[in-house]
Amino acid sequence: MEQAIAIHLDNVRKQYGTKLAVDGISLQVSKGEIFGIVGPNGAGKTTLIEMMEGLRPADGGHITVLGQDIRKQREQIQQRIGVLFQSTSIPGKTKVREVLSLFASFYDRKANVDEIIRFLGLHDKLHAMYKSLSGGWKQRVSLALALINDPDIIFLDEPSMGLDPNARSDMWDMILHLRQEGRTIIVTTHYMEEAEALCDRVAMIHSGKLIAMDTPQNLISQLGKTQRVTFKKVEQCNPASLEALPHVVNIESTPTSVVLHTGNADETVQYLYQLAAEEQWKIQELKIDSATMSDVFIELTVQGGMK
Amino acid sequence: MNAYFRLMIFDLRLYMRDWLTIFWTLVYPILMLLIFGLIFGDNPGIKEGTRYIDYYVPALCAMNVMSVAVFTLNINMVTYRDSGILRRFRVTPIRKSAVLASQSVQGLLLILLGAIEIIGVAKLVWNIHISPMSLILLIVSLLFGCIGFFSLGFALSGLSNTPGAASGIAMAIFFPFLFLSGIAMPLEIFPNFLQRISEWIPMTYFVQAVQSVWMGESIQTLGLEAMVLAIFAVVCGVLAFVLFKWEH
Repeated sequence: MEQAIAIHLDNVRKQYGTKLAVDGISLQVSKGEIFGIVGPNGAGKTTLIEMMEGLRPADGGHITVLGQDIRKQREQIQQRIGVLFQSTSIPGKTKVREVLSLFASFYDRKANVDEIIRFLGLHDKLHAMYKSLSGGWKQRVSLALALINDPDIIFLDEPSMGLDPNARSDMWDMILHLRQEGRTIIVTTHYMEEAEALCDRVAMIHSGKLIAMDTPQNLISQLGKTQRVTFKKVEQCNPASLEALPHVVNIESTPTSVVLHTGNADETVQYLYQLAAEEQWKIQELKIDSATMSDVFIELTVQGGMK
Repeated sequence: MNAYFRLMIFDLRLYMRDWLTIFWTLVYPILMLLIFGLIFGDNPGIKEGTRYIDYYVPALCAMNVMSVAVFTLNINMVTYRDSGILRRFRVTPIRKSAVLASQSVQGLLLILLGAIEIIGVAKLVWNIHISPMSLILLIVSLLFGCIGFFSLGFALSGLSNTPGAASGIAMAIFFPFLFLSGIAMPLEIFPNFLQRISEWIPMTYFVQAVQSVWMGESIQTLGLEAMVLAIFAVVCGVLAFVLFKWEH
């Protein structure tokens, strides 16, 4: 029986020593959606996606993929999923063509390999050694391997990490195309703009816990009502008095600039100029942006930290 | 079945692109044969009417079993693990054991190829005597030795995280075994204490076993050698079970 649910996680836990890497996460991924798992490095994204792939057993809870229990029917599930790993994982002295036909032989169901080669533009690279390829091409080969069994679900772990802007934008186009073909896509990323651009729904993970799950638009409009006021950092400005400015909810400080997260940028900026005059320093390079997924995430983790 | 076959072809291609492994498995034994053969080859052997080269040929075949196991299989498995391709295999339907099977087949092919090469060159240069029966028994005893040595190779692969470290460990095993088992030089010219040490090296018994079958001696006299090799296989099997790992 075909169901509308591709993946179902029920109170899933994973522990490494005394550290809970994944702490009671429940979620459902619908068929045909691009589902994002976002969070900072070390939040538990990779552990979570690897449990869905059947690569790591969960210490607690249940995982069902395409209606089948991952513990009991791993092999049937593996026939129907494709995985793109975070780091390259093919011996260097292997030709692209060879690795494609090797992986194709593992599956009962075969994709049209020529079509994959055309889709990923791999034709000129088929006889190239894997180690001679650039990062973007290696990633395309990895994606080809993930597609070699015409999978129903594709798992992508940090698909654009280490790619240059062009290669990243190509990767996004390819991911969107794969969804159009009716596949379900699970993608982890720590680039919030990637989640915003690609995902139908996003799960935010922090310290192994699910802290929010919704469409990127809803997350931004519900939680991200803040704006960002950025200006050049000067020595004289006192963080405590910045924090006390009206509407400011949070301050980020980098070596060169200060970012104020505020519920009302217009008023905050007025008071900011007064403060600067009182403390006798100058505001330079002032900039106001509206909220992005990054702001939502920062806001959520700050809230979580205060609880 | 197709998957297993493809994996074997894939592994063999990787082997053929690695000059260092080719050197150790197919060139080095011939160099040993020519160098030590030209020094000692025509010296009289232990038995009446034999030459030293007659003992040297089977010993080198045995050395090849050891070098394929501790170098090739060990380093291949570490490379496999280190490159991360094993993890990638684990999200596909292929079974992990296919990798061990493919490596073992590769090892056996190299050992057979090595034996053909060594015997062929010795025939050409020294015109050694080859009887079909001793040829068969030689192959059988080489295969018997493979059980223990292949297990040793897989066990060793669990000790290193990088191919470089694996080849260091391989050398630390290979060279003592090589010199103390009487392959390179006859044990008789060793000082007494070294001869005592060689009695504690499993390789010594392996070498004696293959030399005896090659020289047409009765298999019944090989009880001790067979027992040592069987114990060695069990110990290495347990070690492989304990030490071998699929991931870092």
